Amino acid sequence: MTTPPSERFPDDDLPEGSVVDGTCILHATDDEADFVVVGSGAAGSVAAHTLARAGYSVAIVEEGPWVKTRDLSEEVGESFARMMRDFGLQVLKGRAYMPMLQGRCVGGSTLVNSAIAWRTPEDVLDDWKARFGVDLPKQELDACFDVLEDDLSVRAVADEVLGENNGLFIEAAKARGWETHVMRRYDKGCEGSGFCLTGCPKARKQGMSVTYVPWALALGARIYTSCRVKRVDVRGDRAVAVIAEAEGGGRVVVRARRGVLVAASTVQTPGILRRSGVRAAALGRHFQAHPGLALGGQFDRPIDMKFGATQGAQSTHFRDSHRFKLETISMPPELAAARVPGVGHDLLRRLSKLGHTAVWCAQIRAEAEGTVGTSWDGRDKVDYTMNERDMMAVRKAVSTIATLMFDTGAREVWPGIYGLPSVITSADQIRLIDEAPLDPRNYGFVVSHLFGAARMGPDPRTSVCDTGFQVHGVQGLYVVDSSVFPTNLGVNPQHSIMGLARLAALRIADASRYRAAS
Amino acid sequence: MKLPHLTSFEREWARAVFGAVFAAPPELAADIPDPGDAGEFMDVALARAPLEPALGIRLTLWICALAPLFVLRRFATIASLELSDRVAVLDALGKNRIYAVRQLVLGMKAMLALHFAKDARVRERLSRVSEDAVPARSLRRERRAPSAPAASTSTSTSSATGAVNDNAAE
Repeated sequence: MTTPPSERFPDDDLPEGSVVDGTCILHATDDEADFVVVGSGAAGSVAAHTLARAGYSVAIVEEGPWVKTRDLSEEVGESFARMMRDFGLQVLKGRAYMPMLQGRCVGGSTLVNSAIAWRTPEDVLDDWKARFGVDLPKQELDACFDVLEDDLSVRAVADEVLGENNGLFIEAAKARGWETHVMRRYDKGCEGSGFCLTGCPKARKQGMSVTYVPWALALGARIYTSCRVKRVDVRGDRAVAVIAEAEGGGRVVVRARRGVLVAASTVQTPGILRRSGVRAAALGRHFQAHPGLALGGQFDRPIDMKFGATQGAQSTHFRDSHRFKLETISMPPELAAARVPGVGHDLLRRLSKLGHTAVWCAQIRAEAEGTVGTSWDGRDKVDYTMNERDMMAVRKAVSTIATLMFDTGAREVWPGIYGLPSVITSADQIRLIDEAPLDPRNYGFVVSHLFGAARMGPDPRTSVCDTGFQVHGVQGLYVVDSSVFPTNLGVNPQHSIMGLARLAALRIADASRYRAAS
Repeated sequence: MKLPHLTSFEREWARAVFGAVFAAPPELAADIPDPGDAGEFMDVALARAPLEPALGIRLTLWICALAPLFVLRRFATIASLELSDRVAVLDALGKNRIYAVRQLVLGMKAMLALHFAKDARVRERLSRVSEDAVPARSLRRERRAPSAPAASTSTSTSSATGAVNDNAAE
């Protein structure tokens, strides 16, 4: 990817001394701040910026490197190696193994996702209040969303960059009379390059590494990159420091005068809390996800996935009735190849028609719950198996996407279900999908929306954090990422994660001010 | 903890597997540049991967290598087979009734795809739109060239935008 040196990006000009690269930390290093934030993804960066804006000194500790906009690569393998946890090889284990994608870099997954903005649905907030005693006032949350949407230029995908993969989906769903939208995204002038999944080469996608992290640094915050947090140092009943190991080998201790905010993600946060001595019964439990699966279809007409918003269209028509949401996703050839059936000449002949291939997917609002624990080699692991009702939703989603594809003239569709033909060529064959087995091992999932495992609630016996985001029984230790969510959402989570992180940080800042005053 | 580097015969197996999975038919062969040594790619990938995934990748390589014995009932490794037989073996593994086997082989295919399409020329070739295709709606060209007539797109795109902001109010 060639960027003219004259073109400047927000991650080019950072305040001197604000970024401490852990690969260069060879010896023990000490620092101190009012608040220490663990993680710089959607939650951590928003919380850090909110606290810095409130006048507090903030230090962010991030496990991954800072991959700058001008250093991004179009090559998926290289991008995954630099920006994804375990090079994109992480899996969620249960009856089926599901690849689980998480960013591991400054900005976290916001650097490599499609930047989709959905406010927390009202039915979810009502459910959290009714079943879990988590009352997040809608008005307060809406005020947070308003600020975020203003800051991050949330807007609908422009017609000029919609592209055929998205356009065709909208046409098909509308023809069926289904509720359909173009996506609303964090977008400051998207050019439709289709590189969301490897990082926006022009920094038009408003990920955290080009927005809230640099903005927090401009307000005086510091970030330690490539530093893996081992634990939070809890003395008595109070969190006092974050202890990390730098990639260069040095030990980093950042003392927290007022508090520690953990935003390391649903998979990593429970491990950090456990290593910090938190022993809540609910820790690591109630993990939920939106397992996703994608279908490819080949058309006579050009689709040209390499142009247009990576994920630009969606339908929530089945969200309530069948617990799935339909979306489009433009895949680069390296990722599409795994979805294309066959090997050898058959594979290559189909691959050579990627210009005529559409990929549409479904996110399942699965009911199943899993656990987050520690694997035999010391890494975080997730055990998770979808239940039969979830699988019925999966089957219906596959059948629905296949129907839409044939509606719009697909020559062939690849259902990706073991036991069925790998290629179906007419709408009549959709009945095979309707009768497909309900075993998750027969399907190919990818998971990127993760929730729970340190859920919030008023009762310490059934939750890890109280409704003020503070870990039960530990003063000054907060969790502000999606691990506190009592359930999954049924819509893309980044906006909810950021909204709740902002709400948490505002409350923490207020409480801290009140304590200081009194 | 890291696994030792691939041996020379394991690299040979990796090349054989890659050559079979991404075997270009004659009409495409000239358009697909050689991406380089798949054995070397696999070795580097193993060195960078955490232990557990690295073990999985290596195990898959051995499964593929020794599969001719079980699939073709032939005492041979994948590297010693003709291309058509290698393709048949890998196709059978991808459809194997044992979940772990087919999932591991799918994972291998996904990994080798990163190697196959790492060259921008390959990605361009694969994404090419047929010149003789008649577009039902030529959204892309019209949007890239706003001065061109765009009547055919107006209905679908404007109706799409009309539905845009519903989710903001959720």
